[in-house]
Amino acid sequence: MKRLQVDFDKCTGCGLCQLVCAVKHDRQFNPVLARIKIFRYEAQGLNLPLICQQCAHPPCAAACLMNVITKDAVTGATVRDQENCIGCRLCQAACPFEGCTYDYDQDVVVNCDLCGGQPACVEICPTGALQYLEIDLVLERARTAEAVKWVSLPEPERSQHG
Amino acid sequence: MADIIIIGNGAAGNSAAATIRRLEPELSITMVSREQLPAYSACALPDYLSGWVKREQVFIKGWQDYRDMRVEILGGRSQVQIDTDRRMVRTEGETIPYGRLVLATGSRPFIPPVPGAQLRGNFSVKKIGDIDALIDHHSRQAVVVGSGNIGIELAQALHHRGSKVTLVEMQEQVLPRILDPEPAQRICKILNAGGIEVLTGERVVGIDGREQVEKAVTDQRAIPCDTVIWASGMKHNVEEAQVAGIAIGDLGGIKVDEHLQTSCPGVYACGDCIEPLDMLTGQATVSMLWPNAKRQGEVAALNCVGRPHPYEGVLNMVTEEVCGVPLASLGLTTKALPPDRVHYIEGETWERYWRIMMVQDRIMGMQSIGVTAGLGAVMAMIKNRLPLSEYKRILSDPGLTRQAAWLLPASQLLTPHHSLGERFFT
Repeated sequence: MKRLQVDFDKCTGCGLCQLVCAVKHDRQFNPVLARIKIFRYEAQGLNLPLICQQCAHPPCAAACLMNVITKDAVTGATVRDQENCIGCRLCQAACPFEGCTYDYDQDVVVNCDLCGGQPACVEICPTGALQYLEIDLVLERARTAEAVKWVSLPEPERSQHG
Repeated sequence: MADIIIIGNGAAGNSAAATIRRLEPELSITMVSREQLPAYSACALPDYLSGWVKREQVFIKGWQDYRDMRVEILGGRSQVQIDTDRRMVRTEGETIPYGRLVLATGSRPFIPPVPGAQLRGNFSVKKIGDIDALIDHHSRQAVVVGSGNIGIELAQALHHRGSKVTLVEMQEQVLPRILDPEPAQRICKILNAGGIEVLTGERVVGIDGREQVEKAVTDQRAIPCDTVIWASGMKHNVEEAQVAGIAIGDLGGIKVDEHLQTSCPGVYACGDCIEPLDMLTGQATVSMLWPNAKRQGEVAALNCVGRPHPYEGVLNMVTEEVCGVPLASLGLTTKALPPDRVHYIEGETWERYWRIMMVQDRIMGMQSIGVTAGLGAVMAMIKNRLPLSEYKRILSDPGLTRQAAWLLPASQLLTPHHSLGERFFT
């Protein structure tokens, strides 16, 4: 199982992921329609791409009035039956990660569908802030980063020639 | 003999059935339903009325889904008797012994006893049949009594169908259960701009007409109309439980303990028919909302199959689209909070208005009109009881900020903010 992983520190807030997402799903260069959203915080010096986390027990599904949000049995992704979505936006209020996007064209709420296994945002991301990794690798990275911080060891040396 | 009988085929009943089936593939489940229909979403009924969704889209299950889940469904049973001593449910000629019982009998509209409320042209909305009848009625001028979520949605749907709509609310504001007076005033303006007349502080005292509704009479005027829709409140369906000797609470719902068990061992209750505890105040409350019912169904099912799981309490979460403007209300309103201790964070930009209710350091509720960004993060803070001071500490520490980065979209909302730009909602 692969998941999108976001490295905030590498994100420059360029917004290419939003454009490519909107083009791929809605055929429009309109970042508002993108399923990935970049929040820009100058005070903290942080660009924050937020996207559906494909939770194991999604709060959006628990809130859904039409029971259209389910977990895909194979990929474990959070999928929606958009035909029957009534666009009530309750999932938006329930999701802590801003993972639900209101699609103003179709008047339904959508979330990241991982582009069926080939996320366009990952392909276009110029800095590598977005990556598509095996889920255990995602956890492994988080654990390593956490461990490094607590033990305050210097980061492993990188090769000079990349 | 059924291992588990579920009475009710709504949000709570079906969520209970799904949870039981997921955990215990072997148990036999029987569901008793008042209507001879597969499960449908009552929340989508106003959308069906407005023509936004088709009739078949309102249904969230088909008969095949019950067969796939191996749930035996007995539809069209209006008479249900429960014998808790002998652990049996009697329904229209059948007597079924049960191991455990889950009550999810739901609620029904409350129509105040005013003269003329039985005339043709009076409607209330809870079932899909009500909408079918309302569509056949071809309303030209409608009066909607009560401005709760259902009232507001139905008023818009009827207006969309070409009817002239007057919304009459007894209290001084619209949406009294989910909004404070100030945001309600804004919603009122949006409704007026959308072509819906709103009369607050008026009580409907009678309906005039010979065979059919002709006038709705309030304490201040008479409104000519051919349709009256009663959206003035819901009532717990507790009669079956009451007859069986199950304790009823002070608010009129079935009394449950923290495991959603009723006063009778082996009988659990969930959904609109119970009076659950509020997550934020810890007091019994009435909350007839779909997400709460679903969660209660899940918890009742867990406890009923012997996996003790306390219910965390209801947390209100309502979203509404009022003439194209999204409205959200999370948690409690000012009315439900101690008046001397509550204070607000309020803000307005060109695209949204919001108000956050705080008691000391804790967020107790939020109301938002306009764009929805940040709502989820505030919701998470309400749920996790994250104090504002702690939130500020997270924001002031770059390391912590990165770990809890998803909380950042709430930061704009938690700072009082008033833009000088043009007001979008006037």
